[in-house]
Amino acid sequence: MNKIFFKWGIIPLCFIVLVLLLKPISLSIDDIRRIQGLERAVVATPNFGFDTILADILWVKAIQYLGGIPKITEVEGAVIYKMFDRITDLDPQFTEAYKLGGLTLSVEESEKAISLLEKGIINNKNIEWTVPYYASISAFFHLKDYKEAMRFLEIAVKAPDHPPHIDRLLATANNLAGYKELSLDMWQDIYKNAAQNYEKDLAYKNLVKLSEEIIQSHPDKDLKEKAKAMLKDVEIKR
Amino acid sequence: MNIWPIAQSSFKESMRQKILYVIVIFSFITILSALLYKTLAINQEVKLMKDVGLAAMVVLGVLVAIFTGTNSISREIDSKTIHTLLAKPVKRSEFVLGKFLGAGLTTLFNLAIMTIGFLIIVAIVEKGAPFYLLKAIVLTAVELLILVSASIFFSTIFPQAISTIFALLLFLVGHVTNLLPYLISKAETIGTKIIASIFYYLLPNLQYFNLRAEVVNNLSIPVSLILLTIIYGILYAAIGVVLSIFVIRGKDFA
Repeated sequence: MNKIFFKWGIIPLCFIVLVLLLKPISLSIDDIRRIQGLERAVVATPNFGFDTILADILWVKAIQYLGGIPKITEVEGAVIYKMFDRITDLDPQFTEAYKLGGLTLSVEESEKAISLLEKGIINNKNIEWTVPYYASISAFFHLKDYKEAMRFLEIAVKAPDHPPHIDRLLATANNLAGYKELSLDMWQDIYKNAAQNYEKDLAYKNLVKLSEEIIQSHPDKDLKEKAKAMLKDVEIKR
Repeated sequence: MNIWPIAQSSFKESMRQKILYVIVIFSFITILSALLYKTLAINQEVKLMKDVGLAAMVVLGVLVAIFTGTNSISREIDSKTIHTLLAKPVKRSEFVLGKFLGAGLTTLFNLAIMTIGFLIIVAIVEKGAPFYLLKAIVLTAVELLILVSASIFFSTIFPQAISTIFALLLFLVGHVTNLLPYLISKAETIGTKIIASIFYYLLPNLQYFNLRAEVVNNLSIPVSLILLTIIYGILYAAIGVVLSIFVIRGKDFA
């Protein structure tokens, strides 16, 4: 009996043990991938593990396509969006694809540009500041949606290496979106922390302009007083 | 224990195959060709080079793994040398384990040569040691071991040509098993659901071994994820070996 077991029974037993061990390991791998944001989107075309290579091929094709069109119409905009959407499905960390797609579509197809750039922000926890900044440009200048622009600029200013003009754009977006007090506070901060003289001058001009606007026409008395005090403070320091 | 001598002789025999050298040379040509993309890729030529290099290592590694895996036992059966081998005091389990180790070593040796060449080329281009790429290559190595063990298992049942086709299919299907839960949820017939579920629970999810995009983009990958994926791969490779032993034990070579 023992001999038969060792000849035939031990192998199926090993097989069952190995199979039983696989399930919890596979679940743990899935959990870690989900927590770390390493899960991939379900791509319509099976790529058998060659997703990045396919993304690169599409990237090269997209560049050749962009070089061959004189103007982006609605039809071309749809094609470009589809191309870059597919590239970033295959390689969600391909930052340059979000940037190039977003920039190309920013004027004629601003909503599509924002959608692509937002996908980049969602897919990459530590995305470089340029991606939300490009999205904010489309929202600010082309759609005139200042609240949307604020949302992206707030992401861009969190990046440690963002340039100072993003803070100024955020302060302006706050003002245009109607958040006067927030904008006033931001301009004051920019004025205080400006490293260059031209930045200080720029902040001063905006601070004066916004304070005068609030003093003349804003209904909130407390805010008017705050603007007056701030203006006085800035004038004294200057 | 006769495992190591069998593994050594199997490794030496496999390394005599000229096709392996052709594959390695071809991999270097493929990696170097990526340098020509400069004009096409707008500042992304280094990324393209790494992507092409890692993918070339997978493709050519898979070819080596399947070729050596299916060849190692089929050759012994076809040339009848298995009779002589098993007439000696060699257990069938030792024979299979030895063959697995030999084919595995051949595959890993070829991958190591490709890795050294690839890392040197990337280091020259990037002007720094690109050791972070090793995370992706280690996972590729484990994936190749699964294919070696599967190829050996198929070759214990089928002739070499059919084993090669099955092993290639396993590689392709293994990379889409992560899509099966989606298919199961969308399937309209119960039959499709059952078949998809069987495939999902039986076949390895080879996409676990694909962290190439994350590695090329230098994202932080937890060590625990790499270790668990390696254990997952070793378990699947062990299943292939165990099944091969089971089949070989039941075979009558007389």
